[in-house]
Amino acid sequence: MECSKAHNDIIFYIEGSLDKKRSSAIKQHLDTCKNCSDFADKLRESLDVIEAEKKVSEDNDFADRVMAEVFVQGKKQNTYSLEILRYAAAAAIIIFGVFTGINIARLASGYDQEELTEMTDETYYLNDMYQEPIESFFLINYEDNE
Amino acid sequence: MNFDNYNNEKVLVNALIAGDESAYRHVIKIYREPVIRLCRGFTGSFEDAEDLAQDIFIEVFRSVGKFRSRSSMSTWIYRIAVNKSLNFIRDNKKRNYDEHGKHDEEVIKGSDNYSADSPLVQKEHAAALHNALEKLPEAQRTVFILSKYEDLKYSEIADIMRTSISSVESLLFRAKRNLQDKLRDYYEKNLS
Repeated sequence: MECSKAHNDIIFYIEGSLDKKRSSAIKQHLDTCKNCSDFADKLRESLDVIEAEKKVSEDNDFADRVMAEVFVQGKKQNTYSLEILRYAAAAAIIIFGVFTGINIARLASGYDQEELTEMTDETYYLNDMYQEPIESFFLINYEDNE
Repeated sequence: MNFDNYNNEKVLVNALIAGDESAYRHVIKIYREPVIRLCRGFTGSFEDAEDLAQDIFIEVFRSVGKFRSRSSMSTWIYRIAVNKSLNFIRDNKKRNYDEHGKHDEEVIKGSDNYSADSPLVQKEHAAALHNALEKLPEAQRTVFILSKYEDLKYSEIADIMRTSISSVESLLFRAKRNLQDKLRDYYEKNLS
């Protein structure tokens, strides 16, 4: 048997999954070829590492560490949700305040919405005062005082 | 609630969803060893395996609400463990590349969890094995680790990987052949 052919099956020979005929052919080759026999020994030792690594030592604190993480993360998530709610409430109050302010300003200016809708496009664009309701408000007040 | 004698997985799942601490501890008690073993197969380091296992259980508890009982709980936990392990390795590879400007094939792995008085040969073989495993394609590596570290049946591996039993057989065969070749290369470079 050539070394290259034997090399293909050495791992299967080591784990004992070859049929009898193939297994004895590999064994015969290993008995006569030092190179392949050395390779088989090294391969066996490397694969033995798996058996050694399968042993997991006891760790009584592992569950406690996971529990601590789980509950800390849960608390963090709750705190995070509360933070978001707080910011949402603040934003809602600000938006409410801005709209209320705009409406109060409109009422105070005596600005007639109907009058504006009755206007034609031409009169609207030719009359700057309609585009400047705040100035108009002051002018009206000034006239009233006179 | 005592889950030691429970037979119905649904009861356990419901308790987990409800945030029952004793249910959490029961799951850890059953699955800690297999999860750490699996992670050790992927990472080659006991410390990394423990840290990774911790993250896996946190993920299991966080996403238990999504568990639909279409597969067994062990299959579902193994799936999370495999995904997390593969992500861990991808991140590590990227980090090693960024930090060292080279792929981690040049970084000695798998020997950090052997004590100083472990025989040098054992450390070298651990390094050889994990370097070779790391070079396998992900599917071959996953099948090999599930089979050799966890001793799972082909049908169980097929369930975890959502593939057929014949695919698992084929992947495992190729994994062993490839592993053998990678180890031979490693011995020629490092242990000759």
